[in-house]
Amino acid sequence: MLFGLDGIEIALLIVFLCLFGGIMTGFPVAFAIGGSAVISFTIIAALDSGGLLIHQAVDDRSAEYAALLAEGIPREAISVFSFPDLPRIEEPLFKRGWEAAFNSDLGQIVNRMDQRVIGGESIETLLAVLMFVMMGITLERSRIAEDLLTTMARVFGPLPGGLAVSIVVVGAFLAASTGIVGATVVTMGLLALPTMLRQGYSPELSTGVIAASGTLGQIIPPSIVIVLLGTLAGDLYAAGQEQRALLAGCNDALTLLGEPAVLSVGTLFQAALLPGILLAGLYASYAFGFALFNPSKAPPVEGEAISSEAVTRNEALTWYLGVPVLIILALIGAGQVGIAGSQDLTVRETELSGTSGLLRTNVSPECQASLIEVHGQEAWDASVEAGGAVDATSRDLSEEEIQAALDAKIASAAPIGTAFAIVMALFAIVIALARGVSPSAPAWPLALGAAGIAVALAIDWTALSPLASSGQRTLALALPVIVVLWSVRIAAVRLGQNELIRVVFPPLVLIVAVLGSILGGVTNPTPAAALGAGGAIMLAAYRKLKDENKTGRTILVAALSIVVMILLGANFDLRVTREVVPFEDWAAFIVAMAAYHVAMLGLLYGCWVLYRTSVLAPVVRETAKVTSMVFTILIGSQLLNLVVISFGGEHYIQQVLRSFEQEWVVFLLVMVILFILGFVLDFLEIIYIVVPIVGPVIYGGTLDPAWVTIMIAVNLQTSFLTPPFGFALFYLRGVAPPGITTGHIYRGILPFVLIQVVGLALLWLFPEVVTILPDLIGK
Amino acid sequence: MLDAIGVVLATIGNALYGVFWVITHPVQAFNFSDTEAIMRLIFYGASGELLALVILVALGVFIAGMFRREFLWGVVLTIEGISNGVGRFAAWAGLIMVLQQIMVIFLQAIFRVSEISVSPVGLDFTKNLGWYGDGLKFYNGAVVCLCCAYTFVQRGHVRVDLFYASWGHRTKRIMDMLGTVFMMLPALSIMWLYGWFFMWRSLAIPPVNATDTLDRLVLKARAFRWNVETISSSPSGFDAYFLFKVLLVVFCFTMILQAIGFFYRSFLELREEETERGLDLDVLDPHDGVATEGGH
Repeated sequence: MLFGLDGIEIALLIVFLCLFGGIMTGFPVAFAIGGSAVISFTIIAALDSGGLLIHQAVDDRSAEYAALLAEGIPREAISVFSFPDLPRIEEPLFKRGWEAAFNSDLGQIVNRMDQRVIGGESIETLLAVLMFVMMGITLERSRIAEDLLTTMARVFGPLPGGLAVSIVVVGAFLAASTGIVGATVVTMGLLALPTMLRQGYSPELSTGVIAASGTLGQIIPPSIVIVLLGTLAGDLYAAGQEQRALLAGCNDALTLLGEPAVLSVGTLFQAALLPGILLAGLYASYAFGFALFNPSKAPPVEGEAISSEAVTRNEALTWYLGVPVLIILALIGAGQVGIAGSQDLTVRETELSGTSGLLRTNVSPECQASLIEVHGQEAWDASVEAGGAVDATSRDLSEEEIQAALDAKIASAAPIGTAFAIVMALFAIVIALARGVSPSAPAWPLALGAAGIAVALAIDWTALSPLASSGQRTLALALPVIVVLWSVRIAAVRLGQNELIRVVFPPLVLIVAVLGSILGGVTNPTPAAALGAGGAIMLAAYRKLKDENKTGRTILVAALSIVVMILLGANFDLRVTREVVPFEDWAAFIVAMAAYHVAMLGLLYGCWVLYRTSVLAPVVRETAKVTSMVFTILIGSQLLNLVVISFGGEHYIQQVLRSFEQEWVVFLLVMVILFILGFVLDFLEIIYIVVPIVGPVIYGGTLDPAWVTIMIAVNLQTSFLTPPFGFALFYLRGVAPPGITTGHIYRGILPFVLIQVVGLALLWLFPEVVTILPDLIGK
Repeated sequence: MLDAIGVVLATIGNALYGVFWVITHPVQAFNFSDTEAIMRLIFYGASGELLALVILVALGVFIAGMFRREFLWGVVLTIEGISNGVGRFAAWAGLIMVLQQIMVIFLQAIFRVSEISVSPVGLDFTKNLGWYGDGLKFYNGAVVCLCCAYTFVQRGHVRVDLFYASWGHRTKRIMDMLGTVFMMLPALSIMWLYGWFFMWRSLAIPPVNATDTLDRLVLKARAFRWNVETISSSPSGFDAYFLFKVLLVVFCFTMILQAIGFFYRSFLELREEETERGLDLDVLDPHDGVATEGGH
């Protein structure tokens, strides 16, 4: 034994040193990781062949070991850490020689690449990486960030510390639409930093707030960190809970948890939203507080007014705040009292008789004890009483039963459909805002629109029963809806004259579309990312056409077609391969098909516009480079992971972590390690090297997996900010004006690193911030 | 020690003899109706002999380049040209992937179709929607594997330049050369070794392994049969999974080539105290645009 250390500990140390040495040579990280894996394997193999590395393993042929097994303790729970007094045997690290380990473990590299990098099942979520990157780069090229920055600076400038606050707002906005740290930091550093310095802001605050706000993209969804981390965490959670169930004596995780052990990226996006907003809020309050105490270092800036038209405070309050809030309250109220609600009349023709919320009761005694420990005695008793959970079975319902169910549904259906009510409420808000933007313009078109909304709702409430077919509904509502649309068009033109709205609206639509479809659970992250990328292309093409003083009508028509198609798809059954297709469905299908083709052609036209103006090729190339870089690091990390597995290092670390009594101690330890590693490593390396090793333990306990993942994500976001190797600082240093020194940047980021720690502490103390949104949406 | 030297010398001799044999017997070597010829190709495709040959050729070019630097520059620029060309072409797969995903999601969510036919000029190509959805992975794989060398040329792979940035020109170049030889090439060689047999396992039976000897493979040649893997993880999914394995091998090939080119470039830059000579970098810094058109 060397230095009194176990062979595996020495081997881990060798891997660690090689990895750090390799990365610090400055060689491209992806290959430095893979290369240092091979180097460390070579060293370990040489030492092990020389008999220098001896592992003191538990002797599983001893009588004591057999006695423990007889007590019912599972094999996985027996380690030198949990039972230090067990007899040991000395064995080399590579029991079958290093050649065998090389062949069986390192040889797995191609299977790993195939399964986890290129073609496996979990890749489906990873496809979102390329699409989100493309979306972000396209938006960056379409200069949305620039517009946002200038406008927000005018809105917030007059406040103390206002420019800093506007940076946070823009950072959060860009984070929600793109989520690419480098692009955001570079853009804000180039555009806002010189202005802030000129206005007398201290270099420390300016650089700190730009770097920190730029990293919000890593936590506010859609974020690439969460896609990468979530894909990994989903697998780790499933595997970890299976193992936990086995240790608890149950057959599988479903039995132990009473629900499947699933963690989806969509859930994580939901969970990440509030923490992201919390962090943005903390940054903004820090900037504001700093300005209050040091007015000279963050002075208010007087700028020109946003709108050409004078709007009194009263009018602004009424139309920007009062009326929209009233409309939303009315919508919620209508939903509560049952005026607006589901009109879904689909009746299942088969009955699913399964039991949910109950535990399986036909389990072994150990499992029963574990179940009671996890769910409480009451839940167990209730399950026993109800006969326990059984697998779902289905049976066909009789005609009468179907009719009865249908009648019940008709009786309970709300007079106004939810979707219709929401669309009308949105129109009403648009009209109200338009009234507020230009009070001097004639009000009658808006009033007519408002009346149209009222009439349409009234018709739906009184004249249309839920039984009415889509065709009848369309005919009855056509006239008022046309009036409303005409009015909304006028309102939109008026809104377009307001700079703030004109600038915020396009990215806002994208954000609502992408985030809405993910958060609302409509689509997976991957299709949503594709829609986001497509939307970004159309937006960029529209901007390009405007810059060339050409009409962007084609793009607008395509965007409108998408809306038409979605509305038709939601209201009609467009499956024309059915046996009987009513006429109205055929009509809807033809219109929707036409809209689909217009939309796709519009998208292709957008691509062509960008290609013609030499924007598309750089975007596509840049996307390919970023994607390839991310995945190559993944490949390198797989090799390192396999080396750590080959000599039992992964198992060893997990046993150490498992030997702690309290789970939160383990998690705190992991968080501290991640934080420290963040000073020298980048999030990709941490996700791919550290998380797979510690993951099975921290995801295999009772901690909420979504909370664990978000905590790690916030921690990783901090790694962007911690000197010396913080990505955000690195990018900012590249674009900062000559007067800014690295010292300024390092001093400036310090308060924000502390804010991150405070944020982590808040999330630790109030995990509800993370869990409340998934719980709400999930139910 | 002597044994090891003996093995190395024997391998080199074998490799040289092999090249001689292939040149003199081209028909026999590449007669793929002869299954033994295929098995020989499989064996030597990831063998010590191939490694020896690659090292010999690379060293030969390197030594020649020491005397004739223009020749070595030509080799470097050719390799970088290949990497750039392949990468810039494959990058478009990313855009196709986005467009195809949009098409799939619209048709799936709104029209609820189960299959899509594409029939230009009478050629009917009908596939299940799952095929289109699953096939997106192939585009992603193409971007990852084929653009990696391109990204390398374009300096797109992240470096931790904590120390690197502060080093002088010579130290940087020397570290790059050492990194290529001791980190990049060994890792890629391992991937090639296993990836090559992995690819053949997806193309033909009986399965071949990295541990098989030549004799064993020739023995297996009797049962050789093409058997291209088409099974995907889902029943109606993408039916060309062998392409992923081919991509893996192409990835290793392009990256090994690029690594050798990078080694030469670092050496030349070390000798000539000049950087980025002839380097075909993408001109796409958007912030030049911002600086010049700052009025927006």
